[in-house]
Amino acid sequence: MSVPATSDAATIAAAVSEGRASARETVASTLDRIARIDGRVGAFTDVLSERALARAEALDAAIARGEAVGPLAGVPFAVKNLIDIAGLPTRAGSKINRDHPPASRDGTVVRRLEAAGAILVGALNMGEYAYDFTGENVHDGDAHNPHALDHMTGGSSGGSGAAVAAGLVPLTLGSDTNGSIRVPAAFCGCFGMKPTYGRISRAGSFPFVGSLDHLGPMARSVTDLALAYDAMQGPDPEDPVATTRAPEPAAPGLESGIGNLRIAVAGGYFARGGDPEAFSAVARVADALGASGTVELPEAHRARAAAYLITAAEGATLHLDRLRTRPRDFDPAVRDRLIAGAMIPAPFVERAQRFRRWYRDAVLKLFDGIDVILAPATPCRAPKGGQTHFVLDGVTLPVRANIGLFTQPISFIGLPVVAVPVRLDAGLPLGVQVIAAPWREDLALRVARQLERDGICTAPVAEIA
Amino acid sequence: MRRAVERTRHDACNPEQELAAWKAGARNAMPETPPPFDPDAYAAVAAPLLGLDIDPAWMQPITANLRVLAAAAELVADFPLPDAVEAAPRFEA
Repeated sequence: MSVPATSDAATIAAAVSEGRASARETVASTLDRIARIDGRVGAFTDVLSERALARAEALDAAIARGEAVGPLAGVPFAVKNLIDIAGLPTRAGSKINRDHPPASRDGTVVRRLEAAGAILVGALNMGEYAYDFTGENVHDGDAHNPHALDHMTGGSSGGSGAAVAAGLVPLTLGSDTNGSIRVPAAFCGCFGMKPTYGRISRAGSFPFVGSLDHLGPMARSVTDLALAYDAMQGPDPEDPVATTRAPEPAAPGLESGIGNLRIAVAGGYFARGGDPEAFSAVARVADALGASGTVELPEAHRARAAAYLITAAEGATLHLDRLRTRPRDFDPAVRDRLIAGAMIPAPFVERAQRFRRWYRDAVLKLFDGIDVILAPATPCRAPKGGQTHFVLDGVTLPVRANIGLFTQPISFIGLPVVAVPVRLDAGLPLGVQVIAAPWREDLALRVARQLERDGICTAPVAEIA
Repeated sequence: MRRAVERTRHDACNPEQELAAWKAGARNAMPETPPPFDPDAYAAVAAPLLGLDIDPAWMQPITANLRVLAAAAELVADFPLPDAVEAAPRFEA
């Protein structure tokens, strides 16, 4: 009694909660698919078969007793390996953290998803310490794009994007500091959500840049994003920046359509410096939504530079002791960036944080006249694995430094974003950022759902070669 | 689940080229030249202050990263900010 392992979360939850499928069989078929396919994809670093099956059996027993189960009943999910899982050291893509003691309990987001009935089946590959846009990892091996295994997943939540795109699980969690959910969502052709900064607790996750870090879900449907997002909301005193706002569920209004929402396309910085396809994807989405106007986010190029500085400095501060004692155990590219970051004079960082305040105020004014802004998620489709350079707008550029150029100015001020997948042709997918004002995740999700319903944005399971 | 990959990432992340990229992307411009300073000398004196023991082989990518960071800092510094604008180290949306 099960549903296909590649079903979406809402389908699984309905079948399990109504007794048309058992959680145990659902989890077992998921584990079987992971065992058969993940060797080619490299999404998982840990598979928790025993734990997942035990939890599934407990859920089935609860259903048999007539107990209420949550909106994610029996839904298998997996998390980026910087989120605590009881019994495992939280490696955060590193070699060094494997020497940490095992986590004593699950991170807040894992506990909240399991309280809603979901079942954790494993931990996912990621770029070292999340300082990455490629999905490549020198310690665990690279995650591979399920739509073309010789291409990047994007990162740093590369395993999270790959696992969803490959149909290994319907739901994953990632983290996004400068684009690390939105980039792999775009490259892997799935939906990804970076909520407002502070909306979702990060307690029980390994940090990167405290003033920029977010957690969020990735899935193949907007409904699944909303179900997971709703289940994870709520204050958490263990995260110093977690909001004290009461949860504001988005799923109930998801089918409301776009109504009279004022939607504009980001111009200026966000309309140049990428492949034509990146802007074609935005145009397709804008056309479908009837969005003809443009809006310019002021000084976006400086926002990116400021995010770059803050990231390097805060990340270096976090890792300084490890840089002192175990520098040779880092990915060299991460180490060298962090060492340079440790040397940034304090006034540079303070200036960047002051600019951040100015930029935040300037951008928030834009939302007086509009509700949603559209922008490319990445400047191109997924590069080849190991590719070091690409040509954007006629200029040869290093890949790593430039994949996130359209995501950084948005997360810099914590705006909520749903990254939606666009397929212009038979080639690899692209992504578009659907950006809303702080705390208006509901609007971004409604727009994404409308695009999904109209067939503009879809996330089919990849056929693994 | 995956075997470790035996390679380094210096080739995959060349900060000299990164700096060139900031410059080349003049439309989304970083300054043409970072502020004049000697990153090798700076790194050499900063490392002991920070308690870092830097292998000489790492110095080139580190100093190249410093030049990128200096260019980023200059771009931010070029923007006039009123004195009353406070930092947002713990950003609240």
